[in-house]
Amino acid sequence: MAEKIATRQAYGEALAEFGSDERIVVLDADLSKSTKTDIFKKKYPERHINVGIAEGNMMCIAAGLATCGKIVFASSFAIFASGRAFEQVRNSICYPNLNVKIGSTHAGISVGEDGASHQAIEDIALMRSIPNMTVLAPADAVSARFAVKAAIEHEGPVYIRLGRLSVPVIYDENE
Amino acid sequence: MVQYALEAARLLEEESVNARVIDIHTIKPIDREIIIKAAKETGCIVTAEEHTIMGGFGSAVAEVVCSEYPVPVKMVGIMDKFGKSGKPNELFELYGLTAKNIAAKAIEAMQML
Repeated sequence: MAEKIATRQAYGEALAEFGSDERIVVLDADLSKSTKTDIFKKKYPERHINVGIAEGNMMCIAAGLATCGKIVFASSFAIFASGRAFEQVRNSICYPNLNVKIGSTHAGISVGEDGASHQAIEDIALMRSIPNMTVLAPADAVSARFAVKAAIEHEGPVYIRLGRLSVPVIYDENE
Repeated sequence: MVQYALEAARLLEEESVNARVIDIHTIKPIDREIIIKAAKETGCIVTAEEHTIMGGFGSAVAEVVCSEYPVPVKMVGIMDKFGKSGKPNELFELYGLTAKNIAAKAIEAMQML
């Protein structure tokens, strides 16, 4: 049986790995233990901001920071990042084509027991409908690490869809 | 869903059906070339997503296929329903997000040819 790692875990680790780039700022809406941005926070506390349970506001803060040359990773659960904050993502991030990356964890039904209210099954449809947006859906931990790397290198908004559940590692790290 | 698609390909192999598995890690901008190539070389496509089939990944693939090289596209995903509380594997079973269902859809798609 292949090793199992959640893509959100790989996301948090990748942020910490590539976080030496001082342009990177990570925002979280009071879920950093679950979105795994706490891994980045431990290493670079001065560049991690918990904005509180205020996802819409977080997207606007992210947009503002991006206008100052920052590469911003705004993280929350997919249901909030793509759903609750949709208008801010559309109008404040994608319309001006700003360099904001949305790290969206707990996507899909594999969230499990939390049920329908927390299972984002519309986020791909919502995010891919917005002009300028790039949508990534990594299948495993190796792919998720590359998604973060690619998002940093790409100029413009990126939505990264990540899961809660540990999933088999499909790719070789050196692939 | 890539893990289930790989498993489905193994199930199909047992029935002497040769299936190609493509991991579309970037849903937008989508790799049109690889999808058209697959449509031309295999003749039919099954998409699998942990997402509603309305406007999601399957739709994105179908947008490419129907405008460039029309072949049957069957979609595995959540069929216009809300989720439920339960263990992930139970939910995958309930909504048909399984290797078995992907393989079954592949057979259905082939029967359309």
